[in-house]
This record gives sequence, C-alpha cells and structure tokens, in this order.
Amino acid sequence: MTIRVLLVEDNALNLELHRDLLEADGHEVIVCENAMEFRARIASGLVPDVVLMDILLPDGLGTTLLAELRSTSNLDDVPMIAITAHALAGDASRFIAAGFHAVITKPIDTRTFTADVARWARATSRKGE
Amino acid sequence: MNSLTIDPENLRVSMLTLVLRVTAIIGLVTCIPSAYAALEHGFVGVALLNAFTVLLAFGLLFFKRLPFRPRAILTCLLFYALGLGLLISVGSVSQIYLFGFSIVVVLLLGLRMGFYAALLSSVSMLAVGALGYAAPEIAEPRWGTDFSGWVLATINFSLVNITLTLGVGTILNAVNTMLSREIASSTSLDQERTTLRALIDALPDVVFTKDTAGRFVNCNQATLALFGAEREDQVAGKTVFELFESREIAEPYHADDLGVMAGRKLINREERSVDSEGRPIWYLTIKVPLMDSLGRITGLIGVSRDITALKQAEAERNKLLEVAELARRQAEAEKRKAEQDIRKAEERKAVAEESNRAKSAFLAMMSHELRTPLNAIIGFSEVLIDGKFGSTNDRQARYLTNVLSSGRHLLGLINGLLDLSKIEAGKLEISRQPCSLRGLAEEALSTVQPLADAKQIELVMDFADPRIPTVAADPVRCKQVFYNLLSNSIKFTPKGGKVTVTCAVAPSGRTVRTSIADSGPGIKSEDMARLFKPFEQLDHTGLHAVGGTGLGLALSKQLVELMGGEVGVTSAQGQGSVFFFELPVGTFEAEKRVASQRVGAAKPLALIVEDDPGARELLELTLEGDGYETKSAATGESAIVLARKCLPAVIVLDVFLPGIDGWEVLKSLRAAPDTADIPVVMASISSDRQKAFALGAIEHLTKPVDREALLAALRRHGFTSKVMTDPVHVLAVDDEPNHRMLVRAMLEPAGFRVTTVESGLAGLEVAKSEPCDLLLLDLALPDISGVEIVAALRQHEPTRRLPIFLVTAQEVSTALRERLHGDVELILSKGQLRMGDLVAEINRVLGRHP
Repeated sequence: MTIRVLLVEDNALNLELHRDLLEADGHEVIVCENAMEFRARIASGLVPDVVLMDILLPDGLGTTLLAELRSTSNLDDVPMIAITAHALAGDASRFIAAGFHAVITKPIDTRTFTADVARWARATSRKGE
Repeated sequence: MNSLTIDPENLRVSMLTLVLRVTAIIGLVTCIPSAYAALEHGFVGVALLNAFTVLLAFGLLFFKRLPFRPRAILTCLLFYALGLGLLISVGSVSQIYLFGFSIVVVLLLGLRMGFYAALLSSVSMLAVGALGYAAPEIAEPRWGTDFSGWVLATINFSLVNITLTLGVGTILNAVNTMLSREIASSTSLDQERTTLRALIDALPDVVFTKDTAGRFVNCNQATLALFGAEREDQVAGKTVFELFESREIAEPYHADDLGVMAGRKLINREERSVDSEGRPIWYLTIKVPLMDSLGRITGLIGVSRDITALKQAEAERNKLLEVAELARRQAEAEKRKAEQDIRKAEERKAVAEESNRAKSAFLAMMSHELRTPLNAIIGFSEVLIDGKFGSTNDRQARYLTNVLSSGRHLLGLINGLLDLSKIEAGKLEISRQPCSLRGLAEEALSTVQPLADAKQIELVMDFADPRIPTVAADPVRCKQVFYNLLSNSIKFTPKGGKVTVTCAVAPSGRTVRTSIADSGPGIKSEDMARLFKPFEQLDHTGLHAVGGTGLGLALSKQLVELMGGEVGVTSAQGQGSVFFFELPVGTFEAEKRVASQRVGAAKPLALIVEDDPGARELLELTLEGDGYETKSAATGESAIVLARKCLPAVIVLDVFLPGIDGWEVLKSLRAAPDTADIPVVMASISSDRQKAFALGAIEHLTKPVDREALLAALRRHGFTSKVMTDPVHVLAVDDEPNHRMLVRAMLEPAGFRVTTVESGLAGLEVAKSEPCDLLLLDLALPDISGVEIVAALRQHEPTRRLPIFLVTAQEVSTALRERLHGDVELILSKGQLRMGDLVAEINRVLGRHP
C-alpha cells in the first residue's frame, strides 16, 4: 500500500536520505524545506497520509506547524511524526505532549525507518475509516 | 557651799547645815568667854546652857543620819532654849535669841511654823516678865518690878519678830515655788529633747546641723554611721574637709553649704559620695538655712537620704536596657546580614542557574547540530551497505563500513559527552527501582553478542547463586554500565578469547558485585588510576584500531557512583582484567512497602479472584505472608460484588474464570467510579500484556504466578486505596521561607496536607509528635544538620521508617550519598525542584497510584 508522505526538512542531505528511503519502498513523498512551503502546500488542499516534521526549521518550529495543522478542519487527524536531532532526555516526551504521534530521533535507523512511518500512517488512517 | 543644788528639799537641808555650822562656830568662839563671864557673875546655869547648846549644835551637825525634820526641830528647840535661858538669866537683852528662834523655824520648817514660833517667842517673853524676872533694859535694871516694861518690850519684840519672820518665810516660799516651777519646766524640756533626739537618731536619713563655719553641730546616728564614728563628739565641731578623706569629695559639699548659708535652699540635690568603707553611695539631700529669732543665718540643717539602692536599681535597669538595646541592634544587624546573605545566595544561585542554563542550551544545541550531519553520514552509508540502491563492490563496501562505524563512533562520543556533562552539572537523573541483575545481564549480553561473535569470543554468564537479590538502581543506566564494561572487555580481548560475567552478594550483604573477567592482555598497575578518567584509553601496542570512545569507563564509574555503588578493576599484565561494579541491595523497596503500609494504617486488603483452589491458596499464602489481608472470589461476578463492597487495596485477577472472564471483570471494575482506581494485577496463562495494560491493569503476570514477581509488582504500584483518599501529610523542614512557600505551592494544589517548620529541632519535634507521611528535609539547616535529623528519626521507633526526601541546594558528595543510602528515599536538588516531579516522587515512594 502506497502512502503519501509530506516531508518537512530543511537539511538538504537529510531530506534526500529520508525521501529516497521512502520512495525506494514505493511511497509518495512531497517535500517542503521550510515552514512557508509547508503552509502553502496545506493551503493548496493537500491531504497527506502522514507528516514527517523536522522540529527546527529556518522560519519556524515544527511544533507551531503541528498546532496550525491541527486547527485545519480536514487535517486535524493526520498523523504527525517528529523527526528531529533533539535527542536529549525529555525531548521526545515534550514532542509527544505537544501532540506528535511519534518521535523519530536522528540519526535514524534506515533499516526500520520506512516501516515505522508506514505503520503510523496506517494505524491512524485505519482509525479514520 | 553647794549653792547650785537647787531643789526645795536640798535648800532647807542646806540651810539647816548652814545654821548648825554657824551656830557651832559662833558657839565655840563665844562659849569660853561667855562661860567665864557667867561664872564670874555667878550664873552657873548660863555657863551650863552654853556648854549644852555648843555640844548639841556639834552633835546635830555631824549626826546626819537623823532625818531632816527631827534635826530641824531639835535645832529650833536649841535656839528656843538658848533664848529662853538667856532671857531668864540675863534679861530682855537676850530677846535676840528668841528672834533667832523664829527665823530659824521659818527657814527650816516653813511659814506657818515660823508664825507659831514668833507667837511662842512673844508669849515666852511676856511669861518671863510676868514671872518677875529682871525688867527689860528700857529703864534701870531691876528684878521683877516692872511688868509693864516687859509688856512693852514684848510688844515691840513681837512686832519686829512677826514681821521679819513672816517676811523671811514669804520670801522663802516664793523662792521655793519659783524653784519648783523652774525644775519642773527644765525636766519636761529635757524629756522633750530626749524624745526628739531618739526620733532623729531613729531616722534612716542622715540628719545634721552645721554652724556658719561649716562645722557639724548636731548629727544623728545615720550621720555617725556615714563617717564611721561612734559618738557625736567625733563628728561635731569638724568640717567636711576633716571628715572626708578626699578634698575632691568634700569640696562640692562645702560649696553647697556656702550656698545655703547665703540663703538659698537646696532641695533634692543628688550627691555622690563614698561610705566609711569606700563604697560609692548616693544621697538625695535637702539643706535649708537655720535662722535665729532675728532672722540671721546661724547655720544650716541638712537631711540626706541614701538612694544608693535606688540608684543601683536604676543603673541595673539602664544596663539591662543597654544590653537589650545592644542585643536588638545585634539581632537587627544579623537579620540584615542574613537578608544580605540570602540576597547574595540568590544572586549566586541566579548566576549559577544562568550559567547552567547557558551550558544546557549549548549542550542541546551542540547535540542537535552534530546529529544532523551524522544522520546523513550514518543513513547514507547504511543504505549503501544494505544495497538498497544497487550493490557496491567489496572495497566500496569496506570503505562504507568504515564511514558507518566512524559515524557511529562519533554518535557514541556525543552521547557519552552529553551524559558526562550532565553528571558533572548534577543534572543526570537517576531513578531507583528494584532491578534484577540477571535480567539486565542477559539483555546486555544479547546486545554485545554480535561484537563477541565477530571476534569469536566466548561470552559466559555464570550466576552461581540463584538467589541474587535485586539491587536499587536505574535499569537503563545499569544496562549502559553493563554494555560499556562488556564491550570494553570484548574490545581488549583477542580473538578466540573469553569474557565471563559473574555475580555475587558482597560479604557485607549490603551490595551485589558483578564482575566481568576477560582474557585480554591485562592492565599495567601504573595505568589503573587513569583507567576511569575520560579520554584515557590506554595504549595497547599491537592492538591498534581498538574502537570505543574513551568515555565508557569514565561514564560507567560516574553512573554507578550516582546509583550509590562503586566500580573497580583488578588486573595483572598478561592475565586478563576483571572489571566489577557493586550496587546496593534494593533495601529501600522493603522500607517503602512498610511505609505505605503505615500510611494505610490497617493491613491492606487484597482481593484474589481465582477459580482454581490450589492456585488461590498459593496466592493467599503469598500475600498474607507479605502483610496483606486477603479475600477471595472464585467467579467474576462474585469478584465484582466483593470489590464494590470491600474496596480492596489491590485485586489479583485471573483471566480464565467460569462465567464472565477476567477481562470483563476488569472492564466493569474500571467502569464503576468506586472501583475504577483499584490497582489490578492480571494473571493468565496467555501473554496478553498489551491487552491487560490497555484495559488499565497495573501489571500482567504469566501463570503460574511467581511469588517475587507478584510482590515486586505490588510494591511498585502501591496497594492502599486508602492512601488515595486520605490527604497525605507532608512535613517540610526548611529555613528558607521562599522554599517553604514553594513546597506549599507545589503540594497543596495536588491535595497534600503540608506542615512547614523552619528549624531542624522544631522539625524533629513535629516529626516525632505529629503523624506525618513524608518528610521533606533541607540538608543545610542553621541549628542542626539534615543528616543529624535523619539519624535521630531513624533511632526513634515511630519515625524509623518515615520516608524522607532530602532537599539540598548543594552538591551531595558520593560519600554522603552512600552514608544516607537506605535512610533517605531521595535526594532532590533545590534548584531543580519541579512540581510534577515532586508529586510523582512522593506518590511513588508512598505507593500511591493516582
């Protein structure tokens, strides 16, 4: 099953790695390199199966974008996964508390990455059915 | 002549004596010629009378024992006899003696007797004439012829005699009366003076008079005492200059005296002086001028009251006031200083917090910034090695492996550095819970197995004793230590070697030692010391490219010490090394259980829901042995009814039951508000952990239920539903008002009852007298240290198991941590106290399950 992933990541190399991994498994990846692009995408009516969100973006925080997305009527139950280099103790629980479904810490495990993302997307989409 | 002895009696006695003396002397002088003349003229009778009267006069003069009156009468009679005898023998010329008789009588016997004597004289004279004796010498002397001559002479005589006698008598009476009056008045004056004197002497005040020259005239006893004198004449007539030793003291008195003599009154002047023994005394003095009837100043009168005691009391009071004032000022200064100290401490704290914050921010940033490129390095090399995007040749694959392992090394370094910095900043939070070393060892061994396999190293776990107790440790950190030590040993063991893990209780019984022995090259003794320092990887010749960050051992040492244990190594070159760490046996778990039991007051009730009688009995035995009261139900339906009725502290619930199954029971318990909060432990033969947790069970155990596992699970979660409804009483002892306020602000909204006390001794009193469930204790109190309080509470039976959280603003040394281990539940840092954490920790320790 193909899922549509909205990937928000400002680091070009990481963006490429994450996109390539997802695409290699046959998923559709739409990328945004900053908050502005993300907002434009959402405004254009895109409904992704899952959002992979970097926390520290050049023009905003992933947590802010999450809140914005949650307040958009038809996107309020799209699963959002934080993918971040904030890996200190307490960081992950902070993001969960902010409303992320899951947190993937960088460096990622390339061997489980796509499977994890797909599982989260499916888990929530099934809920939505 | 004792003329000055003037009193009426003496006067007459003196006169008698005088009369007798004169009579005797004149008699003696006239006796001889008179007797001779008489004998010559043939008057023998006269001569005899002469001699008789002289003798009688002498006799009376010297015979003083005879009372006055007979003597006086005899004397009078003597004169009468003389007068009468001479009148008869010599004639009227001797009437002078009769006159003398009258005078003597009036002098000696009074006016009335004198008058009678004068009459007797006149009568006697007339009688002599009538009897015809010689005529008076008015005419020619003839015998018994001229009676009229006698009458005439008698009349003349009587006139003169009576007049003079009465005159003398009257004068004498007047003198007598005057004398009596004078004597009476002088006696009463004397008495008055004596009374006054006694009065003045009795006065406690110094009373004196002085003359114009400043000499003392009169002075009372108090004055004498002042000068140490005994008699008035020792003081009277002297001036103050003579009486006081020092001129300095005398001068002001004298000056005052001069003022008073000039007419100024001196009222209530306070004078300083010294008494006869040199002690300082104070007087309150009044001096007024003394004037004569013309208004001239003749001296002064002074009254001085000793007010030394008053003065001393006043001085004492002033001194006390001074001391009090001094104390007040000192207290104020101390308060100011304390406030300053607090301000300074706050400033320091703020600075430290700021620098801590900056450091944390830097660490977080660094971690973030390093991870971002590492993600690409590790991720890309991984996918290439995995051949996800096409295969690589062997050389490329090898290079990629190098890139990947270098990337991972770097990541390990970052993580290690972060941990170390956190430990050094006191920020690494270590939890304490019962950990099974066996379980941790197994997990760690399976993690490092690939490393060992790569070098064909044999990994052996040899836990000879099957009853290794659990240790109090943080399982994540404990695993990290295992991993570090194991990978370290594997790293330094040559191919085909052996790494053995053993575990044993230390002889003290208080710690468990885990040892990891390798068959590596061993360590030189001089290197041992450097071993546990960061970045001190030893140089092993011939063993290049040994991986590792150089932080593993340092980190392990720090972590184990944080958990209250220690790390060490024994090694000899060529014989391998044995790294070991010791962790304290999980004693606080046992204490925790007792603590929550105490909170719940009565024995906690456990409801056992189990249809198999054998299994049920086993569970009952297990729980009762651990201090529970148990009730049992064999079916789900009866279990629900019992649970609602008894509200047990905990329920052990079997899944497979006749009728409704355990899941249904659990759901319906959760649905009812009364029973929703009762902790439930599920027991089943299937592994339905996820389902059990999803339905709200606190624990899931696989049957047959392991006794230890069940008890451990119960301990972890607490079991008294009572605790959840009763407000927990927390006693906070802290001298910092801000911190006391903070604790209140944190705990009271969370439903705790908080008592705050600001001193250690008071805290100790309250903890001993008032039942409380937990003590939040400041380590650094001004009066008694937190450590001492802990020790005191642990010696006192009711508070022996009172859970204590030590709150401290300072770093707690490892030694102190070790000492306090088992006595305090937790050591909290003041700067990092957060409400959620504190509440959670209290709930955890008290076994509350909110």
